[in-house]
Amino acid sequence: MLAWAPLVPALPLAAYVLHLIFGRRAGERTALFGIVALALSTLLSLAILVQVAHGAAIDRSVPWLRIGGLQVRMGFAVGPLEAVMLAMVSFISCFIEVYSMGYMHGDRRYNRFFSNVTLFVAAMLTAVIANNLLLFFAAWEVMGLCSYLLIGHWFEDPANCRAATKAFMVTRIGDVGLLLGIWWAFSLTHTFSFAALPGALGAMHLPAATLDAIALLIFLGAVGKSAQVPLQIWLPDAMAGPTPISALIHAATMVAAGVFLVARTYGIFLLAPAALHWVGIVGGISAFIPATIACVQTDIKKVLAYSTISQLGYMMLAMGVGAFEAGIFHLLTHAFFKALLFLAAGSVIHAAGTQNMHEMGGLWRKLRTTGATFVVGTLALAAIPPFSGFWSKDAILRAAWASPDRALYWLGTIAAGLTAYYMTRAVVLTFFGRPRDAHVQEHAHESPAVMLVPLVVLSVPAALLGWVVDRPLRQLLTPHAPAAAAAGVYGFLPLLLSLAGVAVGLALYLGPLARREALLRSPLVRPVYGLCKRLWFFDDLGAVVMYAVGLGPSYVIGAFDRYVVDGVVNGIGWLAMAFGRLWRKLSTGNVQAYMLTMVVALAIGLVALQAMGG
Amino acid sequence: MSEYQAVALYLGVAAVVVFAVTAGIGRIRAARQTGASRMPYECGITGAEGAAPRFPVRFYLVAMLFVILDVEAIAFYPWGVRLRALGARGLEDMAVFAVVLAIGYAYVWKKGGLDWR
Amino acid sequence: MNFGAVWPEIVVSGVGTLLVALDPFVSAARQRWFGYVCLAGLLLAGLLTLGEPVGGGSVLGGMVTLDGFSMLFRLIFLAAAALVVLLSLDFILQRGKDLGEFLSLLCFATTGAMVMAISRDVVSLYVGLELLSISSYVLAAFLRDESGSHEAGLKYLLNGALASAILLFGLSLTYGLTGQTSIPALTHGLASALHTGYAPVVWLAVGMVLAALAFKIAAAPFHLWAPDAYEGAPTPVTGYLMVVAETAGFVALLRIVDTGMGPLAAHWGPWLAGLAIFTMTVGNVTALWQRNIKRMLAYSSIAQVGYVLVGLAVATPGGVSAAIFYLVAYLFTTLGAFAVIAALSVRDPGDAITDYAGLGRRSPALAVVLTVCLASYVGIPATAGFMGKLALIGAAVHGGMAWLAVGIAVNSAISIGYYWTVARTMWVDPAPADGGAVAVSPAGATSVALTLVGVVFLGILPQAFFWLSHWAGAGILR
Repeated sequence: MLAWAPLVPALPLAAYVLHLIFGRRAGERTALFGIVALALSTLLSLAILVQVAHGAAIDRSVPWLRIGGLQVRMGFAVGPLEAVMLAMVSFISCFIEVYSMGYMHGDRRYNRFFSNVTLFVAAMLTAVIANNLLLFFAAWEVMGLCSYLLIGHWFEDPANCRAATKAFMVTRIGDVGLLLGIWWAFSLTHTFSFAALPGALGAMHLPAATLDAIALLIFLGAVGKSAQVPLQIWLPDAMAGPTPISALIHAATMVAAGVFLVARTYGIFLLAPAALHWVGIVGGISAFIPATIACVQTDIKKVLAYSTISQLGYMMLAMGVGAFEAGIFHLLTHAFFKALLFLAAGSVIHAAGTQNMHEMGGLWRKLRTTGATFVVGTLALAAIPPFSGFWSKDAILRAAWASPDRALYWLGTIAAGLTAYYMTRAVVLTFFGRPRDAHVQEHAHESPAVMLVPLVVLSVPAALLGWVVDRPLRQLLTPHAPAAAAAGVYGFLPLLLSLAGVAVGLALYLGPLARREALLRSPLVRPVYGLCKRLWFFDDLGAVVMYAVGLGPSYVIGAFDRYVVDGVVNGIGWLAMAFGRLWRKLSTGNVQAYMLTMVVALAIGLVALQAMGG
Repeated sequence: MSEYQAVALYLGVAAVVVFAVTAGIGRIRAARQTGASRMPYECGITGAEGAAPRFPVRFYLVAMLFVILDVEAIAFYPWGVRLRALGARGLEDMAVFAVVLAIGYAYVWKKGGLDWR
Repeated sequence: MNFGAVWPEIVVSGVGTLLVALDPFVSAARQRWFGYVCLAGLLLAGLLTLGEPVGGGSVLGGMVTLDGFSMLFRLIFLAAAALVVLLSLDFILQRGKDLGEFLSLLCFATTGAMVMAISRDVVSLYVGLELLSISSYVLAAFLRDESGSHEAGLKYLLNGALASAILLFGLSLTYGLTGQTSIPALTHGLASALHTGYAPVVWLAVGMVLAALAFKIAAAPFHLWAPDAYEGAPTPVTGYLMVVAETAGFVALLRIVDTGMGPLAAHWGPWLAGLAIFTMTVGNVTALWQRNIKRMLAYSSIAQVGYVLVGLAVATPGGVSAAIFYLVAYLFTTLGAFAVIAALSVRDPGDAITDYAGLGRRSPALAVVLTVCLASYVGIPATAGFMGKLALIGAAVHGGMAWLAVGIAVNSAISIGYYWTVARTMWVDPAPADGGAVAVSPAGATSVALTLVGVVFLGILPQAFFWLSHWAGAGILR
């Protein structure tokens, strides 16, 4: 069965080809290509997961290219980590495509949407089973391209195009780092293989700085793709894409690819403890800052976007403190509940016709199913037991407490409280209280079954997965790890803060508006509010950096390009033209001239040969 | 290297002669151009028309076809001389050659290459 | 005498003769099946080639050798000819021309190229070259009612005749020096002539052969005829000339120069290197200014010739195999581009780059294929051209001519300029109001699809062809 693993990405890839060929003729039935392929992939990957759980693993490759003495091999590998990822990605994507059938109904570019999503999933699955960095990087780039196309799906609005470009350009900064890291590692070890790289690097006794640099360059790629500080600025804007895309790419899968990359190259990071520590620091900051920003957002999707960055921060934090399995655990649970939250939010948007939470309120009466699933997702994200988020977040923070750098623990714990607060705020603003906009209230209606079924299906793992897979997953990923150290009262602190966050949220947002306004006027809160509202100046900083680092030198380079490079190119062109004119003088376009040129060239050549050779 | 010097000398003389003839001819010819001196040289007979008369392009086609078939036919001659020595194998080869030639001839004929319309 | 070795050539020329015989008796409108006859003949020849035993020995009195090199290049010529047949069927029929004449000329030209591939004697090689050239002159002038085609044929003929004369002069000098026409025998003869006081004549011969073959492959400064001939010739013929005629020129270069004149490599190597750099630079820089897509691709092909010459100039086994690989990549890339251009010009005769505006909307499939081919010309990863350039750069670096590698890199960067113009025109510029969807016939679609598969396959799984080109190039160097 494991040998068939390449079929998991191959099936959606085949579906993509079918989309391209028959998509236009099939009308909206085109969605079935992707859904059937992904359903088969899901079944196959679940079967693979069962086998892997029983201890099977595979790593196969064939020689692909031989240049000089270098041999590059291509192949796939499936171990516990990959099997879990395959199952998660194919399962969630399948249901997201089902949901999209309803959400995208009547869209002008229905087929384009489905073909791009299918290609995206194929690329993600390829990245997962790739056994070498080269194939991984190729798939990674295809994901970037699909993300660009899907964020800009409604390209009639220039804002969407800008968001797509921003996502592409910002992640590209990370990709450059990743590519440099890959080449550096390859030039040292002559292998791209995930399995062989750490051993090969370790055996070379390289200076610590080199290993740190390679690890950090690879991590830079992950920072871009997983939207970690300071490259997180693209993700909130990426919400311009259709909501299923936000669920699929910007919550459940693509952003997880960055975390997966760190997990897949974890052996390299273990060789570079300083770099690993930086992974944790970046993760901690990324868990905290976006959580504060999410507290003041009014757009329901933006809240979820910032929470995604924050949760990805937790995963990186886990990687950084050595709790590899806890990070993957959180990746898994987060994928389910965040996909659920986004799809539920999509259902709300579908019903309300707006994304602004201040225009909603009181939707619970109209959207019972959507509301219930959204609440399940919220409880999971807010880490309230027994919902899934609790188990994974708890594992991460326990590990953070046990690590030397306790600041990370505090960052994560405070962020946990903030998470509970802003999610409670979002639920209350959206579903409860008095309807604030009569038109929205009137317009609202529950979504069709094709959208609700995925919601209900996804809410089951969102609720239960953490409790069910906690132990088995740890067994599978790190069979020999010692049990997590007891953290005493500090183990319960995150839970307490989460409960407090829920309480504060309920108290503030179920209470009268006046109380909130009074609070905002207080001198203690206002600057913080301003800071969060202004996104901690990251976008401004981004703009400044863009100008200072990007555009400034680009003017210099541009001038260099214009005057020096163009000068050379034009000079060569001018020379060629001058030669041409010389020949032209002998009458150009004219056969005699051509023949004369030939004979003259031959004569010159012969004389020179005589002079040099004889 | 001495034989190459001879070659170089020969090339030099050749160049000088060519230049001298083309450049000098204009200087030593009669200054006045009359009707007869403009006519192409035709072995003493007075020419019927100028050096560049117009004549039908068909002439070229037929003349060229004649030359081609004529030259091809020459290939039969050495074969004929050595007919016995070449034996059956020679006969086979010539048959192939003749068939191909016949196909070409049939092609030209059918396409109207021989019509003088 | 055993003719078994040349059955593929006999079959191809036989098909050509058959089509000449049939042509006058079938009206031009009903000649489509000639195309299938021709394809069947090419296929049969290919199968016969594959069935032949490969041994380095010589047959037919030493005129012919059946080594890996001759096998591979025969197959390359047959494949290219078959692709050109596919992409030209509708082009020729739509113009009301006799397909039979066209295909028979194509067969004769291909026979000539194949004879060159298997020759191990300068006489048979020269005969093959002339058969190829003379058929090509007529092919270039095939649309004789169009002044461009007429002009192309005439210019090609006049320049080609001069080049053939120079080649023959050079070869007769080598015969005078060595008393040999067999290519392997030249090796020793020339080396000994060099040390017995005949050095100036040796250089004269080497220079003339190099210059004449540089003409055949359209290397600068012997390329002046090429843009005119390629622009004016009928589109499928342009593709054929760029691929088969130029590749045949390289076959001759590899055989005569790399094998026959191999011991003199230290002397002609720098000349080929200079020729390579000059050719790629002139080709790319001039292509930047072109407005006609066929003329642009003509200059682009000149630049590609420069790249291939790098492999010959380093004169190592790696260089030769890289050059052979690049020629295969170039075959698929060029025929892919010309399959698209021919499909478009079945009805629309416009060859200006601006005529491609909005092609991405009018016919996404064709636009994608053309874009992939342009990417392959530039050398973008996952295309054949990338692997080819990788191999050439590797060979140049290993062969101690790193500056040639730099030349390739710089030239590739320059070339993005004009390829990008075409891509942008196709995808960004709006389609003209009267431009509807483009209808493509099954034959045309097949040629487009096959070339696309070739370009992508070589770009992703090149190993088999690397191995083949290495195998084919192994016997070339002495």
